[in-house]
Amino acid sequence: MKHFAFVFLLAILVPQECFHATVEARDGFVRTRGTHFMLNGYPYYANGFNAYWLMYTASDPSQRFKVSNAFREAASHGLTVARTWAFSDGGYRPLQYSPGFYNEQMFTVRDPHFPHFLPFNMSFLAVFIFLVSISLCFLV
Amino acid sequence: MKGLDFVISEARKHGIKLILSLVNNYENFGGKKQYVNWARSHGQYLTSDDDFFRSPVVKGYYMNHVRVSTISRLAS
Repeated sequence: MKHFAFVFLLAILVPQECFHATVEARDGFVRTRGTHFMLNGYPYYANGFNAYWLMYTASDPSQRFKVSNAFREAASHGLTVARTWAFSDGGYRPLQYSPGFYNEQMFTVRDPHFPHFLPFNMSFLAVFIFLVSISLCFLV
Repeated sequence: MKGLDFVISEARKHGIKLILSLVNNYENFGGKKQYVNWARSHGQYLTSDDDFFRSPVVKGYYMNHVRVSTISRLAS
């Protein structure tokens, strides 16, 4: 009976594991599995850097070259992850002026070269966004 | 394309993945403290920046911000 229960348990768990593996494999987002980061079904190891200023700088078109240069230099040194600020609350040139009110210059304007009927994540398959929605930023 | 869109697009070009932080623990660029002050200016009596973690009003502001950020990213 124990053996039967064990096999029954496996029969439930194994297909789910396989299902997860195939789901994880395709969308280009890094996820966690146990204590590993996973990408496309394989453990993912990151070399990254912290740059709070990217969005703020990119909101001024004359300064955007600094963002491009930072990514280019980082990539040339083999870095593959950047942690950056997707927020700016109140104060000077904010993203969010006040709760629920946003500055479009900082935020989201459609790419004129990209068809709008496709979801965003299809246009940026190689880029994944790791939305750290609960965690706060302990490094500045 | 503006601001954050440009950053994401450039990251992709260079094969760099992004971790997007949605709020700050410190007060630079707003953060916890700004959220608590917004709630104060709407009549909430709050005594600490750490009320960010406790006040239903503040948590509502932040959850809305997460929703806007996420949906805007997915929809545009």
